[in-house]
Amino acid sequence: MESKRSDNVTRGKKRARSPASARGRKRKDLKENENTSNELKNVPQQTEEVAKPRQEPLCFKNPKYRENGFSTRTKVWKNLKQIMNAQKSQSSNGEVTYASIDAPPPVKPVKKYSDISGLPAFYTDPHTKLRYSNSDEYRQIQHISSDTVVGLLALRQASY
Amino acid sequence: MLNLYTCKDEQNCPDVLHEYEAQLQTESIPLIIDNGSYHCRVGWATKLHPYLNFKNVIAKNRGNRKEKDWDIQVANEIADLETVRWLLRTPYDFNVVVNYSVQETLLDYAFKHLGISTDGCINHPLVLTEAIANPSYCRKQMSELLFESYCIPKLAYGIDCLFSNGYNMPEFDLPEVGLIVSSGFQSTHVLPVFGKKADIKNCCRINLGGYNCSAYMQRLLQFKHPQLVSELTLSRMDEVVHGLCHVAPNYQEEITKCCDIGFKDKHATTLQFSSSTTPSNIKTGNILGGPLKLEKKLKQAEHKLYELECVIELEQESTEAAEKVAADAGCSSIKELKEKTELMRDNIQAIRRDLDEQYRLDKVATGTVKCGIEKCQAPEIIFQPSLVGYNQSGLSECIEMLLENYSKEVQELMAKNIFITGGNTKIDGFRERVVKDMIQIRPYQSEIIVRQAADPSLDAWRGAAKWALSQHCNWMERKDFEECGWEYLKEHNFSNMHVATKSTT
Repeated sequence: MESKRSDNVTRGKKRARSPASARGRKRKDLKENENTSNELKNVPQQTEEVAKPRQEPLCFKNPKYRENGFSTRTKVWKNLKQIMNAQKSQSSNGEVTYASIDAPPPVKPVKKYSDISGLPAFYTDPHTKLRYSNSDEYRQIQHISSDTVVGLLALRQASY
Repeated sequence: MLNLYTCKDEQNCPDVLHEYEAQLQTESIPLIIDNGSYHCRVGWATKLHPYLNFKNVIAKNRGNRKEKDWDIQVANEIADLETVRWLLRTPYDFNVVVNYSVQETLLDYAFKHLGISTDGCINHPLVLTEAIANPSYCRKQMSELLFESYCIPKLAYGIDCLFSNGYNMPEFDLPEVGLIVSSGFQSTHVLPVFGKKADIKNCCRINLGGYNCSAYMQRLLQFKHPQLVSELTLSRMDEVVHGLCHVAPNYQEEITKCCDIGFKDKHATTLQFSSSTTPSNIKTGNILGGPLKLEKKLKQAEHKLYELECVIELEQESTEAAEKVAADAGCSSIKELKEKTELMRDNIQAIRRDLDEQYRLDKVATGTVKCGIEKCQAPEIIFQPSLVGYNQSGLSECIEMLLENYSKEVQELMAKNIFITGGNTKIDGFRERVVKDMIQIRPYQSEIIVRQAADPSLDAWRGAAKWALSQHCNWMERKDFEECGWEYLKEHNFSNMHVATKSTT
């Protein structure tokens, strides 16, 4: 997996030419008032350039806030679903909430399209539940593997 | 005639560190931030263009959590998004900001690149865009972040599509009566305007946007070309959707046309990738069945056929023995067995044909993808969400439904004042499709006028800038929040409605 690769193997290499280190250098030039609350790192540095601790605050930020601010705390943020549910339980009827402006299900019957070619589909394979529009496509369906079937169905959020 | 399109694969250039001009400092020029799920546009209200226009993402390499050494790259510092695709974090969940740590990092980046160097605060009023019906909880967190961390003097929130509409009117203001269609990265809204104010109660949101078009395009092409799965990246799909896709005025007609081979050859585009950077992962399973798999199947089928043919030969020698073997094979009589062999022969012919087809396709240059019907399929999801399994009405149905909420006179006025904005509407043929669908909805020969924003991506920012400098502007100050709490919102024509959350007992 790419993320693992970047974690273990190329991390050292990445940091050597990471723009973050260049940014650290640029910050030094730009800042007028150095904030003395620099937390020194205990990690043995892999490269000389990354001597700057990452929690270096920017000059325009309120220093008092930083001490108990968001970045130093690992706060777990609510995701949208949780926020929507909370809003639903707290709001009264008739009020506009984030969930209330969601588009409703369609009134007109939906048109079906083939999963293979995208043409209008008149038939559905009862075994795999895939839609097809002619016999050539049906033949193709018979040859495809089950994970492709699952993938094609997932494309329109249907299950096998 | 081959239409060839080579993917440009443009890399991001890091943003320039702008100079903090003295004039900006002394006059307290408002800062305008059009905070979108796709791009964030930041700039000064007096300028014509935003100074910064960057992708609203950061790449956070977790590294060693204990030692807290996170390698963070922000926005345009990331040269190629695909290399860090799995590390990307965005403050957004769908079209609403929920992660304020990431938002803080992005705001730091924006302010730093504008050159702001004041100590401990930012001395400029701020205008920020938000989603329609943004939950109060989210707004509260955002206000708190801005006032506590950056100590701004004044703040105002607004809705991006309303700003865009106001900007595109002869005099900066919303129309008396109108209908706004705003299609963005994550969502598409249809918002009626009534009495120079947004009628948010009657707004409609389809949970599909430019991102879904690109993702759908990617999966369609990946299924048809499994050997090129790693080449078909989301960044390339963005490029393809923006450049090549078009919205069909009549979808059914367009796709039946695409079947015709003559039409396909003339209109299909061949996508070419400049260089294969990563080795292609051979995906097992494919619509036609990969050549290796088909070969295997063919072998098995031929083997079975041979067995059945042996039985038929046996019949010529001794009928009894043949019948016994037929029974073993699962056939009640020899006649049935013969029929079965015929079927098997046909099957083998079919597999052979498919295999030939597969080899022919493989002979075509690898690293090229033919795009025919997919060019119409991807943008169609906004009009038919059922294509991707979403149980929502399409854009035209939403418009029809919303118009029903008003009287006939108002409906007529709205139909004459439809405004389209948002980056996703820049797809070829979007406006024409809306016109055509409106003609189907509205009474015979009634007037329909559909206008598109001059610059669908940037007009929201420009509208906000103009609003900030005008007398319409309605600022909120820190003391307002101290009196009324962080959920406070001053409503104005371009903003959301305030929805109070009841305190839980």
